[in-house]
Amino acid sequence: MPDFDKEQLLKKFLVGQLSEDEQAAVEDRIISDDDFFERLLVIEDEMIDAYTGGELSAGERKLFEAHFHSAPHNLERLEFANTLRQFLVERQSESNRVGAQSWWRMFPDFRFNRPVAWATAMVLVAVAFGAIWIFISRTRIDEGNQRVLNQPSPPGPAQVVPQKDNVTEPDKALVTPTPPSVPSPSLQKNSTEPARPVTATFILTPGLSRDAGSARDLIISPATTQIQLRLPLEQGTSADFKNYRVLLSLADGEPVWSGVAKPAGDRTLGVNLPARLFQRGDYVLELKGVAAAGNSESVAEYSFRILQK
Amino acid sequence: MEPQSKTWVLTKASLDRLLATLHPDRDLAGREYEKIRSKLLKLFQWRGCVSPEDLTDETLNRVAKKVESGEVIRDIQAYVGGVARLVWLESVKAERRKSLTLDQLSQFGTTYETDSAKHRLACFESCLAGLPASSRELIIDYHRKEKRARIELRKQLAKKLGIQLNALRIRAHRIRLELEDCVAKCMRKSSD
Repeated sequence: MPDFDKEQLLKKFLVGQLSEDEQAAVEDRIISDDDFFERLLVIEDEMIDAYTGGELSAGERKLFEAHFHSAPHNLERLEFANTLRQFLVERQSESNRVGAQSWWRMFPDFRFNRPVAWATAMVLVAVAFGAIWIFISRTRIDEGNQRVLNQPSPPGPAQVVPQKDNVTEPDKALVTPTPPSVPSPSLQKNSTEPARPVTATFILTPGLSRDAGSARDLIISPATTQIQLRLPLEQGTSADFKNYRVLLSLADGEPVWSGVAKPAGDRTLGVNLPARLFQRGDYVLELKGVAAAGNSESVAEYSFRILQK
Repeated sequence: MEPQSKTWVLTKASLDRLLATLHPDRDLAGREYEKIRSKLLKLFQWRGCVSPEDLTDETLNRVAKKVESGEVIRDIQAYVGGVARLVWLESVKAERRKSLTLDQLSQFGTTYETDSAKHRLACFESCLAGLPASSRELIIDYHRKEKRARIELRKQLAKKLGIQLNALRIRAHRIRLELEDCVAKCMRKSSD
């Protein structure tokens, strides 16, 4: 009589590795014992997950494939396991992306709670109206103050320092400063107000070589709060991935950030990153394509140097 | 395989007699019948059969036929198991097991159509949203981490819920079964 408590025995049963007698004994137990049957189903789930997660040894994997795949029904179960994995990976990416903004985690997952979503939307609309009203009121006050002081306003500082090399040469990173949106420096009290978001956009070209003459130097002004990186795909690179992930690391390999890249034009992807992530130094950004089955492959690599001012 | 019981048809009377053998209470007998049916289905799937549904029906028909003939069966479950094995052996003789080749298997990932995968994910999310919040959280938390961290996480989860680890595994399995069923229905509905 086989020892039914041994999980290893049940795993062997699931991949057809028991003798006929042992197999018959397990099957009899399945028919007569509901708990035992359910235990086997649990182990089967775990084996499927281990298979789709690439956690089986080569030998286990071979056995699993030879036995488990022989029934078409099992393919459906594998697809489900892949979907579950894919969902969790995307969820994890999303949570990594917003990880730096921990306040966001305080919100419930709106996909699953429509009433909360509506209530939150209403509150946000109300807050937006309030903010606009305050902004308009303040602008009027500022204009009044300016008239009273009768002083011309000095020109505002540039948000992003344009780079000679990058702007003119198409094979190097381009810098596209967003329209300046600088708080009015006319009154002293304004200097204590939080800075409005300033985004600097850079278009990176694929490739890791950093020739002395073609260094992809990106200059960020202190006022920049957000960096938008645009990542065009090279000709011939497949764009048939379900989604794309970005791994940003220092040149020495130390990871800095990872998350999802979103479409930003024809064969171009984009990521938005907080400027505070960057220090002076060399960076490598790897773009990975995630296939529908959940496996990913490297699509392109971009290298650049941050020169922070 | 050629059904041995092809000249014999399962009638309401024979089904009633089979149910009465399973349990005196008709509702409980119906539940017991469904339970045995789902177990047989899994047994044949685990045996790698191409048509587990057909073999399950054939097994139950043979058992019902035996009961109808008036033969006393002392241990109906053991008898069902024995008939199932016989049916399986006959099916093996009747047709060579249609196993997919490893080449075909390796195509599994690549033939995975993007649209279908997207649709499956949409079904999955919709089914997940339909679960009670506690089940939804449990199934996500249960599968969250990779191998090493997962074991520790599951222990913590079981502790948080005040249940044993095995009870947690079964709870997660039942939710997963519900989800799988919902996703399969969603996929079928859209392909109709």
